[in-house]
Amino acid sequence: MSSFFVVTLSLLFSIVLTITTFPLGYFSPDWIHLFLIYWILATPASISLVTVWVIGLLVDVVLGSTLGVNALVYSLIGYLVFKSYMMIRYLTILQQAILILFLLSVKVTLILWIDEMMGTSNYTFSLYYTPVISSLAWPLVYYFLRNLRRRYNII
Amino acid sequence: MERFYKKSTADFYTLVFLIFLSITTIVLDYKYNQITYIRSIINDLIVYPIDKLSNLPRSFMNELIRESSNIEDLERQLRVLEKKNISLKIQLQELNSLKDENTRLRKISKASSILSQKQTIAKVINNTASPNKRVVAIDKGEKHGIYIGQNVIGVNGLVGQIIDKAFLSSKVILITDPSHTIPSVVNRTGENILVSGHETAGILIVQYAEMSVDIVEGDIISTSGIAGRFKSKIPIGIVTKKMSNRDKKFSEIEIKPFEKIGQMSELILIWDYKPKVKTDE
Repeated sequence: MSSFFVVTLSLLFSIVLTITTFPLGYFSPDWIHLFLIYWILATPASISLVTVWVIGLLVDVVLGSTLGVNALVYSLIGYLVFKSYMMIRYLTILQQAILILFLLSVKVTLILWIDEMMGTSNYTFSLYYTPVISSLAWPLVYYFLRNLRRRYNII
Repeated sequence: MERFYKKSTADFYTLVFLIFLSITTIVLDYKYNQITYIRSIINDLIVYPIDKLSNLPRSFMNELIRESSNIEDLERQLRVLEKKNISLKIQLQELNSLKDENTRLRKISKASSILSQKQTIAKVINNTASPNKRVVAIDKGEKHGIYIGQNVIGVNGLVGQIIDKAFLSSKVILITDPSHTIPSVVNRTGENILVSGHETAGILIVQYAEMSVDIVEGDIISTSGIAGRFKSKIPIGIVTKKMSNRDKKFSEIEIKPFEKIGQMSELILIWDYKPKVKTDE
């Protein structure tokens, strides 16, 4: 029960971080997705794919994008991470950061593609700063959440 | 082995189902605007409290500053404001007589009411409510009767319009957003132009202005009211730069808005004007 609270609270905290770092624009890390990827890697049993989808829907509301776009890409990326968490867990932190750079770049491209189909896209190359900054922020998120997980003994 | 296979196909079917669900919500939201209430429920229950929470330190500081200013300061401020109020009233009288004269000269039969009757002051709760659009969140929502397309102004000029409303908060797109365009008019010549936002923060540009267009630096631009989105005659800004590049077909004109758009803490909502066009509701 307590693990559920800690995961939920940390995800809410990631939303707070996202909203407070909006002024950075494209230079703000993708906090919610980083937190989510960490929890999938650490405790894959506590999060289901449906939860990931719901969080994606929440992100849509927070960012003000068309309802469902982020839900779609979150469940796709979430599925990939679910299927390969065993492998990703044993990578070093640097390798994980590189992998996250690739995953989030794919995500940005997918969102851009969907937006383009709806005619609401405003493409700039700056969109790809977010994955780079996010992968730089990954060690920070990783160690912060690992401390949290060990303190509350979440498996 | 068979159990493992079953579990992994179950996951896969969940994924397929979720993707299908996402596409459905995208289509419903984008094409038919059917599920905006889901958005406003999530907004009120989760995003609005978080917005408030994340702005708590700043508003707390503001309160502290206001508390600490002593009574003498406040009294002095009051005197200054009273003086200002009197001079503004005198200006208003002159303006009213000018308006009447204008109406008479142009033989307009029905007097257009420039002055708004009802205004509401809204507080900005989040100055950048979107990562890639210039949108701010305000603390007035459906509960206060806000409607989509409502014009939002500052003390000096136009700021934006409401694009999204929840029960307790709503979102205002600023006129400096690159995808936002205002039908406007040059006050001096009466020429109709299109003013839109620019990637560079804090400036507006004129789109598709011919090389020979009669606009000079210092011209004041205001809304024209064409297309029915904005009330007419709201001041927008002043022309600061005009460049005629021979290689391009159009001249580049920069406008500096009267308001410090994006850095304001209070906005004014006007009520006496409803957009005539069908809003995307």
